[in-house]
Amino acid sequence: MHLHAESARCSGCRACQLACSLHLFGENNPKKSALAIVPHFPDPGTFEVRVCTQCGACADACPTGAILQNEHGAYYINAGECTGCLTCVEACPEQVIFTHADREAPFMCDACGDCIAVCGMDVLSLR
Amino acid sequence: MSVTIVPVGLLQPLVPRGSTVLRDAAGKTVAEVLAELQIDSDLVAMVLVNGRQTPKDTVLSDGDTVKLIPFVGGGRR
Amino acid sequence: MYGYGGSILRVNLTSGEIRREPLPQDLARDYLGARGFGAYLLYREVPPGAAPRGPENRLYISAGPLSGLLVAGAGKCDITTKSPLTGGYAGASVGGLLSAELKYAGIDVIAIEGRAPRPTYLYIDDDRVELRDATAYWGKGSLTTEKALKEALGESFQIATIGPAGESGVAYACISHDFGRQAGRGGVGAVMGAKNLKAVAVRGTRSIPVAQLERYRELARAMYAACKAAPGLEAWQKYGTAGVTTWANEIGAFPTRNFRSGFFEDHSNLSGETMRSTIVVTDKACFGCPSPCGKYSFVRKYGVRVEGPEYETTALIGGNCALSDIEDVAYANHVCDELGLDTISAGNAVAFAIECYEHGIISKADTGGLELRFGDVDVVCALLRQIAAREGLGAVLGLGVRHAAATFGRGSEAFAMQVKGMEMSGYESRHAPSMLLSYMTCDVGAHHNRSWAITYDITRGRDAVTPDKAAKVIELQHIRPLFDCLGACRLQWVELGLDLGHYAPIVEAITGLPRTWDDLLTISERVWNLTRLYWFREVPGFGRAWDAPPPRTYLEPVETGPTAGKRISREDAERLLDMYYEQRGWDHDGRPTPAKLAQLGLAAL
Ligand code: SF4
Ligand code: SF4
Repeated sequence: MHLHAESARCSGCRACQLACSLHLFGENNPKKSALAIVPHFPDPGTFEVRVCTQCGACADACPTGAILQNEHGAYYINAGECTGCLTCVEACPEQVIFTHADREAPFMCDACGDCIAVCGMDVLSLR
Repeated sequence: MSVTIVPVGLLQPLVPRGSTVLRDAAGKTVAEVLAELQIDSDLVAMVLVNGRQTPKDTVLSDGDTVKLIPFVGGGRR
Repeated sequence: MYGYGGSILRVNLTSGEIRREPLPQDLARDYLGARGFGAYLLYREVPPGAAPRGPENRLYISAGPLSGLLVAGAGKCDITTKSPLTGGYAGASVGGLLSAELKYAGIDVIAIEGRAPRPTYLYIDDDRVELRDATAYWGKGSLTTEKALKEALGESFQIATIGPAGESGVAYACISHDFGRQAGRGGVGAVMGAKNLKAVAVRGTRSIPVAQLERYRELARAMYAACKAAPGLEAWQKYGTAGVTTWANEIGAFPTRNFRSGFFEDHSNLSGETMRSTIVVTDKACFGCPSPCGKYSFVRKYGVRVEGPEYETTALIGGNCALSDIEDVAYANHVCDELGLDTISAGNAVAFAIECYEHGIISKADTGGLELRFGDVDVVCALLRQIAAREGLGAVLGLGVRHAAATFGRGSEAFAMQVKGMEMSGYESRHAPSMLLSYMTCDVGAHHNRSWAITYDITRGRDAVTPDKAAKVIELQHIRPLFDCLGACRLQWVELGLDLGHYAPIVEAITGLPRTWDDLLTISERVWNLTRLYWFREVPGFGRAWDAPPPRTYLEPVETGPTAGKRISREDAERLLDMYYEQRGWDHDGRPTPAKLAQLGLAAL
């Protein structure tokens, strides 16, 4: 199971990012979310949604083996094993492993699906 | 020779069972059909015929589906 | 403080001093946020009689308790100041991502005073706040400036900026944000320009704390679920506010040729369907909005991109200037956005000038050789450019139609479509008494945002001048501006029918302060009476005469269309005011009575 995004439908509202940070950390903070909304304005005037495809490149790259799979097969970073080297951030082809000044370990999508429920434009789905 | 009328939201109670199929509506305008259904056409914000917004003087054809979008909050009641 | 950024950021542009103060608890309790904060601070802090363009006037950019939270449409920001257009209270609302970003930077209000010695922009990156040189951006358009600042600082910064019209002091210059959102009305951009402040750039990375996390998450989920289940969702998403252009013509409420008519013969060229099928490329939302009204368009004929035109622009630049090609309207919209002009006031000013020219009140000698006529996009754009530069006719038109009519004279006052000095927005109201009353009594001037009551007129009879109409206007004037205090959008309620019962519980869960819907309405009524007091304090002789409708509405019947022949007599307008004042607890001159002020906790003012 991984998150899928149909970028062309996205309106850039960022409700998904709030739902995400609430799920991951119980906090209201789009900068602590695990998907990216990239506006391309004024030209050409589109939004690009970047989500984790669960490709596993991060797990392969992690030197300490801190990136594991949960019960739905989604990758997650085991903060206890993470040394904060950020190799995974570099390795992610979708650029969807994120960092925040508050946290030593980076974080990523665990395919919970909370974002789907708040997207008014039906951009997101789990596949 | 039928036209399906689908009023949404507040307009729903105005026709039986939430939507209605009118047998002889082809050839009439949206405004005429609204009058027959006793819906005040000035309170219908948008009319979508087969998914496209049209004015209320549009003449309906056989097989059309007419969706009626009302104003909801902000002045009615 | 739960739900709030927690601070007021005070910026003195004259001295360069910047400081953060904790947000006072009682301010949050009694005035809620955004519009409420702005109105209170303006009343308390800006000295009576301050010149709107002087250093002693202040500009308040404020978020509300819902801004930046998981609430449908929680992206509204309020900008309050003393208006250079009207001389009274100005409170303008802008969507986009600005208020959310302020909250993430821990800020509820930016209070800006003084005047910078040179072009400056305010840079906020969480706790790092600086005044930076903006010489390189001065003179540049709003869209150009926003793009350049994002390139210089990073995409994650949110930008509010003025264009050339704000710099030159056009009385209805707007503040622009997010490539197509504007704090449009009342000349807030001119105040920024007079302060030599080109832009504000903000980035915040903090979390907003909430009081009852699980309850809040549950209520938020329910709110989004209700919006997504709303039967009208798809249609409003597809067309946005432009969806009502057809309806406005069908009921004869579409301002046409300077409000001579309520019906534009070419309206189908400007309809939501025409727009969607010819120019719209992307749906664009404010923060947290499930029903994006923003329609981002590519205008092939001119090779430009623009957010819009939304309904108001279509009405005032389209119908009111009689432009009958959606691409021309969209282009003129783009021109306004880049220049930093409010499309509503600008559309009025252009139409007013054209009508003056038709009547021979002004001539080619005044227009720099330009032949003014309706329906000509080149004329419209030429005038917009003169206005922004305050050159030629623009020197007069740039101060608003009230000022222009006083300058031109010769009967032009009769068709200057304004109340309190602010140009009228997009609803011809000669056959809609409660809508006309909404315009007469709106606390910024002739704007529809505080009360939009045409559907009530339709329901209760469009000729009826009855006390329930005044009651409806008052009810709406408390509900709608309440959204502006919360920092949220009202369109999920107006368009989707989102139940108002969603709001008080989520405000309570977020802030931890017990609130019922009635408590919130009381705050809104308090703010309404406070802005009224501000008018009385600032405008010499203020009173009933300032609530009069534009003379055209009682002197001349609508020329064509479904409302042809209709007008509202002066006597009926006065009767509406009597009913309204009485129900508000105001005296015959429209001044809040001591009893009303005491009831609202405003006696000390
Ligand atoms: S919630 Fe949907 S529309 Fe909004 S930013 Fe996320 S993907 Fe885009
Ligand atoms: S309806 Fe429009 S103005 Fe309101 S929040 Fe959505 S995009 Fe913004």
